Amino acid sequence: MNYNVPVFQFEIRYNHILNFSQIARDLLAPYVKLTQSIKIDKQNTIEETYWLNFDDEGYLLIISWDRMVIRAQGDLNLYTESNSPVESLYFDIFKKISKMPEFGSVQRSLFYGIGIAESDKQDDHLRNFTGNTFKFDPVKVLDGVDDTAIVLESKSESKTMSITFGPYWGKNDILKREIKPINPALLEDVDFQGIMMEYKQVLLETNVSFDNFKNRCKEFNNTFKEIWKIQ
Amino acid sequence: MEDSIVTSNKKISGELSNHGTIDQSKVYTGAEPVNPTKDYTYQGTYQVSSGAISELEPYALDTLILEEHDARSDSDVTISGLSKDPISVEDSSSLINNIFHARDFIPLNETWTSNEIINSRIINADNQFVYTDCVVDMNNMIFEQRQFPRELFSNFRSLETGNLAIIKLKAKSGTFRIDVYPGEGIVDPALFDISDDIKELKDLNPSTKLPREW
Repeated sequence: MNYNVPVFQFEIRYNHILNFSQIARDLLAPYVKLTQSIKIDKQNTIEETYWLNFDDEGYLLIISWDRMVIRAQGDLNLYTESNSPVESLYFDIFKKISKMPEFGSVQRSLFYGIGIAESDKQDDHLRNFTGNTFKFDPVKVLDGVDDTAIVLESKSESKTMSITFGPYWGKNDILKREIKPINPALLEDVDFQGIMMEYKQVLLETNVSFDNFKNRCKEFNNTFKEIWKIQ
Repeated sequence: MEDSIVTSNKKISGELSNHGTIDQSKVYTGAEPVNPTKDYTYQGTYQVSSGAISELEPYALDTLILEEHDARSDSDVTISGLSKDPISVEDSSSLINNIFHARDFIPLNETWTSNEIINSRIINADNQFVYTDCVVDMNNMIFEQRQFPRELFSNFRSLETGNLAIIKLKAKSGTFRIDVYPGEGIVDPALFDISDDIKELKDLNPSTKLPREW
């Protein structure tokens, strides 16, 4: 099974830091030399946002007055190992933000990811999925139907989950999603047909660490494998 | 001051400011549910209780401008393009992007199979090599001494013992790349503060039992 994660995103949301734009430059300035490029959004407003681009390495950091985001693509293991960009950069910067006197507390964290795998059977892909899933013929409901998916959702006081899975039709199936990969050129490697899972997990939590992140990745991988097994 | 408000089960937030022209077609009066796909201009006062704005009255002192991304729920994933404002000539992003255009020669289609960012400290340097302490495992605080060609450190002002460095190591089939940067402001010098442990071993006879577990 050719399993791939063409894009994932991890976010920590915290209490708004009202004077973030006044303190962020000193905090982030040392890191600029490590980046390929930077972008500053909403400059000189309370919502000033920094984009640290590591395009050639396949990831991007977004740091703002209420959240820190890492978006990446490729092998998830690259980001869960010791000294990975998530540990050495993302959580290093977050640690510095969380030590500031202006910092309140973490409100929630979010993991979003798309997993795909190439199908062993390259025959009628859609018909295989619908035939195993539905008790009716989708063509009789919607003439010319060319895609389908199943959505699983759950909500509780501390957790919100959304899992969408179905047939995967190649790289354009990724590009039409909410989150776009950092380097679409790399999608040539995943331009095949198979199965796809779009996964979003929001946790209300006040402590977030690198170990939390690793667990989230593990849950994401396990969920994909569980779904794949039943197909 | 918390800048968020909760109304009609939608959390919306925005910047308090005094904007000049208001498009009345977009004025939100509280009479309808918030549509997250619509740009709103809200006019009204707000009350703050426990960090959240709890009650709204239209047409009063302040103007709350709701931008597109602000109307999104806390569960929504952050998407690209937080701002759709046109880039002005003085906008730093356009300036900085232009500066970095010179680096476009870097191939963008590389898929690295290993990517490490290592905190390190210089312990010595000679004509050929720079010797460093590298934190190879942050969780268990495992150190390794590694040496690198001196020319990799040519961007350092000095190679004095104790100077901090960030070493990026990337690998893929047939390629290994090392990038070295001064680590001041990034690397925490306290990571290498292990002198207390070493003092316990000073003058200790090799045949003596260790004073504690290591």
